[in-house]
Amino acid sequence: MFQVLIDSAVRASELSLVAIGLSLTWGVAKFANIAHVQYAPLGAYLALLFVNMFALGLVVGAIMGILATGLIGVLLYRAFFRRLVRASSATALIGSLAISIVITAGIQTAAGPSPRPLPLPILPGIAFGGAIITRTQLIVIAIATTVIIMFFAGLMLTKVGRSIRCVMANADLAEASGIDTARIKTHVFFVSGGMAALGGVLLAMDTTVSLEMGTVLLLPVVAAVIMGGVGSPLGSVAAAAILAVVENLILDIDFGSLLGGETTYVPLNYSAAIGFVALILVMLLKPQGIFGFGGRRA
Amino acid sequence: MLDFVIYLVTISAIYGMLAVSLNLQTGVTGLLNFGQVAFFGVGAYATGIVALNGGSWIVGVLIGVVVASLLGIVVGRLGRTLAADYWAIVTLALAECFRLIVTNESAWTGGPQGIGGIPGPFASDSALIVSFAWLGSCVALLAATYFVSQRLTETQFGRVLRLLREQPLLTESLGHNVTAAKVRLLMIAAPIAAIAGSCYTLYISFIGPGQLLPIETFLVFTMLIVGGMGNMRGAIVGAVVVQLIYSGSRFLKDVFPIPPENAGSIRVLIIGATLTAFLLWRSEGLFPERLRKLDADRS
Repeated sequence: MFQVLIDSAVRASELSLVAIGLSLTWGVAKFANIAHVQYAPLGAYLALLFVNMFALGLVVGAIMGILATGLIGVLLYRAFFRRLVRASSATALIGSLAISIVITAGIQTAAGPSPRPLPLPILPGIAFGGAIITRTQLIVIAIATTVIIMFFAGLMLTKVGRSIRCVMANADLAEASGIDTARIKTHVFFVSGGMAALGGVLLAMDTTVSLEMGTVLLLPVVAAVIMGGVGSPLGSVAAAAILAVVENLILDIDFGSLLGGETTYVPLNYSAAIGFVALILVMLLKPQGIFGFGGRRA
Repeated sequence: MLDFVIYLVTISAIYGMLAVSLNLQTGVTGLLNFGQVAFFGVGAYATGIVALNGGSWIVGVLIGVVVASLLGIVVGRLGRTLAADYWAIVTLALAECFRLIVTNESAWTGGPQGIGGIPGPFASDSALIVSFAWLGSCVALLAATYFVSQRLTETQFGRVLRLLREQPLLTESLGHNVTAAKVRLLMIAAPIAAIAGSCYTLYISFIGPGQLLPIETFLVFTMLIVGGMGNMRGAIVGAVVVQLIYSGSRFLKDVFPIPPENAGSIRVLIIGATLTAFLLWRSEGLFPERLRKLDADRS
């Protein structure tokens, strides 16, 4: 049971960091940026690149990778997505599919297809109430929690944070009351890209840096964003936590004996489908999100 | 060289069917189907699985068409409650789930290795005759698809679909059953994609999960954007242009010193750059949709 909690906490940390940004940018710029999940592998690969190129420590390399990804996120929005959203949100969606595939192909061209580990020492895990937690996982949870708390403090307590919430609620009204919405959107895209990149680095610390990282994140992250309500970062964190627990728990449940038959577990290969099933269920039953903010029907 | 030209025309015709099918959904009706490859995959795998169990290719194609129609009904009914961008993500998720299933149910689908050695419908001692038979039948199928789709957009039903794209709420308030229209359209578009999938499988005589990646859907979207959303002729021209770039860039490595393991991703990059450029500078495509105009001002 402890093991499920620990694994869920790690998973929730990584999902939240990516989902918050997607929820924010979707709320502010009014389009679903599918390419957002690709900022995770982009950040991780850039971190690896900086570490190898300048012989830096992992921490400095990761910070540079995160900042660079934030900048790329801003540039893509200002040069590309902003023009497409003006045509329609559907055009922007097609554009983000294009960017998503271009990022993957670009990384593959530059770094090759095989996954690579981050330069981390391998340390023994810590036994804890019948479960094992690695030091890396502890670091992942600690960093993610700190950053998420800092983010919400910024969103709720600072002036910029208040402006972001205003733009999300009503961009025209915000513009009319003297908020520089273009500048706020730039801030949002920078922070979102950076947080997704941090999510990628943390995920890579826990596993490896791989090309599939972004694609594998897509369904659970989108599920978390829609479950939590588009434009509600707090909702996305809560939904990511629920999703993480469900993902870890469902593999642990013996459905056969529950239904009075042979021992049957959900095959491990299908764990990726859990996010998808959750997504479909939420879309059909509560498209406005489980907490009731945002979302809309046709 | 002749072989390559025949291959290019045949594969363009197969993708042309996919593009026409997607054009009916996205270009005409405004349904952003990011899971187009799932309809393709249903046809492809139905043909592959039937062939693996010794059935005739005709049975495979028919099963593919029927299953794709059923999937079309399900996907269309999902559109009842979802706004366009939400629906797009659901279809993407559905296609990924389909790929997950065919990768894991190895007993049926051959798993990650896929199904190979599928016998085609044409048998002859001369490879050239077989290629020309393929060329002829695929082009004929594409022509039939084009004809049906073009006629469809000219009917009253086609006008309802275009209104659905521009003004969904108005369509509903005019008394049209929006869900029924979407379901009917998908029941037409999905089998077309399934037939393209069957043709592809029988032509290449192989199908695997690698053919069902989101990149395939992205290729078809590029065809639509390059050709011109909503224009059937544009969809077909787009298919030819994109296949020309995609298959042609295979020869890049003969001209430029590109490591072979990067050739695939560079091809995708070129296609991505094409799509991005069109979206930015010519979003109406090479052949913009021509709508009949009423001279309301002239009275």
